Amino acid sequence: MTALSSVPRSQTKRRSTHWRQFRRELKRYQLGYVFLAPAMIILIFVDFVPMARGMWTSLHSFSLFRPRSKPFVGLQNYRDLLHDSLFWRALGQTAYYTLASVACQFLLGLLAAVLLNQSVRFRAFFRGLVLIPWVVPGALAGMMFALLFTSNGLVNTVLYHLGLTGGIIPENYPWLSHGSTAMPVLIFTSAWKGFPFFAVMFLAAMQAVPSDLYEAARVDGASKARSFWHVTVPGIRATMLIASLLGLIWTFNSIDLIYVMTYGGPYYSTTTLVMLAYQQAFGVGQVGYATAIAMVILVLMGLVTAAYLYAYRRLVRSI
Amino acid sequence: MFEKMNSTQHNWNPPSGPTRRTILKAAAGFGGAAAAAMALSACGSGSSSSAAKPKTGKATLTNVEHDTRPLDRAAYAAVYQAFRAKNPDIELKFTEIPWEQARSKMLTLGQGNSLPNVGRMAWPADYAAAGMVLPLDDRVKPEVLARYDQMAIDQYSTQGDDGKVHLFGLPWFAGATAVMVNKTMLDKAGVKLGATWTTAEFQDICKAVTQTGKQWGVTLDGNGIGDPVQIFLMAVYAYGGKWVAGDTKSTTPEPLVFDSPETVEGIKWYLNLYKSGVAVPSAPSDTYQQRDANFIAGKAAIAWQGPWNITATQATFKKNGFDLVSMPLPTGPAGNTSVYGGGAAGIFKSSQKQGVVDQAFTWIDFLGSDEGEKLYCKANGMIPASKAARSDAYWSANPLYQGYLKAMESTPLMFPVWATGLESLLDTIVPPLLQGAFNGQVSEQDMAKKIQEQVVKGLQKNGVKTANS
Repeated sequence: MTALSSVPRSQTKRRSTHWRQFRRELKRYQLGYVFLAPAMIILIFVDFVPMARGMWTSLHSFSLFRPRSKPFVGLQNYRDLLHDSLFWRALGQTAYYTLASVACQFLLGLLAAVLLNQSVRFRAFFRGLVLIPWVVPGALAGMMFALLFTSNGLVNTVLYHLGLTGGIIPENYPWLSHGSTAMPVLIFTSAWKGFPFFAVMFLAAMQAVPSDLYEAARVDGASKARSFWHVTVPGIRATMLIASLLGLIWTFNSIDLIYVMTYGGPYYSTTTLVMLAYQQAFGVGQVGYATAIAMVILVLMGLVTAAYLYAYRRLVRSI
Repeated sequence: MFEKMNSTQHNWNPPSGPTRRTILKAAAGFGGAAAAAMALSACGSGSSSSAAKPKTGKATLTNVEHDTRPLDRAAYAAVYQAFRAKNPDIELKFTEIPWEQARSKMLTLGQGNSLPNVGRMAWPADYAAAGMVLPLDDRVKPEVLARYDQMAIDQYSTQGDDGKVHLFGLPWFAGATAVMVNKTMLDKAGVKLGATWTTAEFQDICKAVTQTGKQWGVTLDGNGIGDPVQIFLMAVYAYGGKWVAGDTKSTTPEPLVFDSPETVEGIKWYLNLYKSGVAVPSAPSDTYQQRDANFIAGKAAIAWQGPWNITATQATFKKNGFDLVSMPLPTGPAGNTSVYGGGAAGIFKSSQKQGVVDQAFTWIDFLGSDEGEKLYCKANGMIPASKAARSDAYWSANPLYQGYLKAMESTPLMFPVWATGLESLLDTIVPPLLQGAFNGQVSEQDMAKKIQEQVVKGLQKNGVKTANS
């Protein structure tokens, strides 16, 4: 009895200690919180309120064509999602598109960073050149690549002159008109558009790796490849993780290239979750259902971010 | 990013956890994921438009339009100049929303109480169901209505949010789809055109013109909104496919019968154009812009087309040394049924809130008058909606317009009035299935069946009662 009654007392004591600590902290960083407040208020109104509203909308049957009637349907939209084969297909295609795009962006970015990190003439010019795809608007890049890959586009012309058409690749092959090639073309375009970000991040990180490490590796007889693997890669590992996370989130949420180049087709072969949400909301008018898809995207991205933070901590501890 | 390293140990020490910057970056990226949710949720809310109420007849109105070519702007400018001379108190601001985004933007503007005052009634059924537009029945006099083909009126008459059928748009230009032909390409292939053609003859001509890898008989579009569905449906209608067995003007739902054997036959004929290699091979991914570009460039000899592009196509053909002719739609076992189109202007509910309905009506009434129609249509080559205006020699004596003028007189209403949102649904449902069917992933039977199933499901989800279970 005595032991039991002592528990609440100690808990109360601990709570009051925490409270005192919290108040002390608040007082100590008062000015900081004042400065943070405007940003927090804006965040609440432009981020959290619409997000909460989105969650609420996803619990309603809200048709854009009958906006006055929005009956509450609870989790029905989410149940419908589970039974929607197109949703699962879009989920798989989103994963394929995102992972393949980011992998290509990563590898191309790493290659570009390594090359740009060398002492070559016109280095500054080449560094500027690499940035061009990054600054081209997505819609414009989409239009450009759609034209390149049309049946009588430049790609087919080049393949024809190289003697590569007529066998596996038919003449005048419309790349975006077939499910088997439309997604790879999108991934190719996304890789072209996104690799400069990786290149710039990796280049910055490579320049922060102390040169005496390379010197030491050279003295120890390490080849260039070994020195890259054992000095450069560990030196830029944290940057690799950050860039990959940001690349994953951006690519997962992107719609511009898909919208312009294929609009999710042919026959849903390039429909990603974001494209599906857009089509459901503005094509068939099912805003409630589309918002449920958006909520799933939000949760998935939350999981990716959490996994990243976990991996980052582990990485930091391992070093 | 990294702290200073200890040079003697050849080792470096990273910070002990994620830095504030890293976490902020991750949070910023995570915030991006919320964007889709926020954008969609924003549809549910809105704020009132804050335009000032006019005291007398003076008003500044916002007019929305989706045709954005320089020719169309010039056409509007011609009408507006004449309008201002007669109505100096009414000023108009013209705003453009391109077709590709028009429907979704208009519907979301309606949700946000931010609609323009007046303008294009592009999807009257959707707008009316969403309570975005004002009925015009009481304002339009019977003698004004008598100026138009019945179809022009039917097209803009739909169920309002009170369940009754009202007129929501006053037409000022019109047209039906016909077929444009590059006669030069046909002549080179030794093909002679008659005044009409059957679907079989159409296919034979396409075959005769096709030189694989170089030029094709016809250009089709399986991607985008509007045209891919309309052209596909014209093929289906030619073989007897229809939406309902009874009267399309009835407001009482009756069973949809789209998945009939006649529809399947129509689909077979249409798909065969692609499968037999007489259509441009990029059809599954081509939009109407690419289809038109294929035709204008002489990549294909034939294209389904409305009269909207006659002036521009004629000019380019002249430059390229091609001869342009227009033909009626190919006739199938059930004849040929075109799709009626055009432009009508309506009044959005924002005008009521701002007390400018009279001024808005003055503008659309002028636009739809003989004078307004002629000024507009002569500037951009469209066809006036009223019979009187298009009897002008500019259209009646021009052979290029004949196929269109004939089709306009006989185009029936194919979509049932009660099926609100059907057109929008088809724009989402048909193109992917068409692409799958072009590529042999979906059979003709499955395509008809899936369209019917998805339309019924979509209508029911949008709160439209259907007679199908």
